[in-house]
Amino acid sequence: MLKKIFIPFLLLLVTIKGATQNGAIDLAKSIKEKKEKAKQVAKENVADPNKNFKSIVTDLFNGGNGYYQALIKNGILKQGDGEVQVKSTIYGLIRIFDSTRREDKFFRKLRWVRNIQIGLGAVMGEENKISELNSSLTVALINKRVTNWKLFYEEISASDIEEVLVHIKKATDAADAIANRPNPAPNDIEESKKADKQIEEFSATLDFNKLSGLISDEEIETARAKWEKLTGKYDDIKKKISGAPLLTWGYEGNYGNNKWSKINNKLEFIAGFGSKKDSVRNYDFYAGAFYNITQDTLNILKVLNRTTFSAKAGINKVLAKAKSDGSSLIEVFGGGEYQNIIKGIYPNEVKSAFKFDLSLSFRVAQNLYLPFRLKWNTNTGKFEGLIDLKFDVLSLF
Amino acid sequence: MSKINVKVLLQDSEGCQIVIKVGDETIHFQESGSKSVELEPKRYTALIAGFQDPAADVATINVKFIQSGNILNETDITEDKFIKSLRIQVK
Repeated sequence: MLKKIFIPFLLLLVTIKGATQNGAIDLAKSIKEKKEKAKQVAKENVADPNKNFKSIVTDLFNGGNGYYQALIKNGILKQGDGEVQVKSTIYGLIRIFDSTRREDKFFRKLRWVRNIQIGLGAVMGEENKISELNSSLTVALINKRVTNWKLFYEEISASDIEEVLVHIKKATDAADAIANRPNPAPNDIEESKKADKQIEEFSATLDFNKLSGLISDEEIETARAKWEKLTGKYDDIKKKISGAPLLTWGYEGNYGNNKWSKINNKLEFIAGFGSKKDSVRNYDFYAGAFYNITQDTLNILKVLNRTTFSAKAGINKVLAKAKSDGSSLIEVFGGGEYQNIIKGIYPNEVKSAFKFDLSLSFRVAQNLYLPFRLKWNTNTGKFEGLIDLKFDVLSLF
Repeated sequence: MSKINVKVLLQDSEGCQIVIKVGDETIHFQESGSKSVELEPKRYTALIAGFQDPAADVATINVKFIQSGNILNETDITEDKFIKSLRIQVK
């Protein structure tokens, strides 16, 4: 967001330079226009920095849902430049340099470093040159998503799994019996190949019909029913875990031209809820508090002279999920937002405001979200609309 | 009868619930480790079924069948719920 402040700042400098050459009248007019523009941009920047909180926050600390993340923002829908960020948990860095630390005995000990994420990035200015460096730190203070993993031992026992395998083993025994025939004839070899292929296809697809001919249809149905019961339990546990409470504290700062232009602090909480019926399209309660210190573009002599506080709370609901991987396709968020300008208020700007917030986010492609946001400002009695585009790339190195 | 070591290695997860059936033997793992089974020399199709740590989405389980230091066969499992078959020829 600071880049939106940064551009008018540059434009102001360019304008001043040009105006000096063209006369004092042009200069005064130009400064006035740019001031108005910068004022408008600064007002917009009071808005919260946690767009797409679900796609970001829940992914980062979901017990290993990728340890690395790259975020690329560009100005497709907004005028301006781009931003590149690379983030990793400390565990993610450790596993790059020492793959033996991925083993479960270390993984359990390194749980705390999976809850700390650091990030570095660059804010691109004019002509795609780096104008500022970005750094971030996020710590999961409470992360029940990781600590609750043992829940599934209570629901799924080894004997439950063995009950399924008893039926399937009859199929593999049949295939082995064919393969182990002494002095196999050519048709024995063909029969063995066919049986092996059936087993391999079943293993790859978990399509129990592939076992047809090796075991009875009744046996197939029994094994399928038992397996589906177990996988149903497992999926429910995964959903419970992914909706477990998560409390994070985070910092993000931009540094350029030998000074800080932005220091943001945020405390965020998210927890899933809903009845079992809602487990497919679950609800999330979200609350966040933000304390942001930024550079006032109208006052270039001082640094970090605008301070804002905002708090936001609401309910997020996933309306549709992808059948393939269960990822969110459409989400709706409804809630309230309080904003207060502690320091650096502009003339005619309201010091504090309460807004009702409604946003609908669509995943238009893999990790590409298009949120439509609508806010109703109780002070002005007006609606404020915002459309944004966020490219969220989750990549495993 | 030959002694076969079944070695299981979990990566990027805190635990698992897996059952391995080979011949008349059934073994069970909840974490990395090694267990041995006695098998007659012939071909077997081992069945490996179970579930990964539900909180870890990039978990991997490596299963190796080893006879006298030689790997008979191995597989890497990345699915969160799975039933895998693995053919081994016991000597």
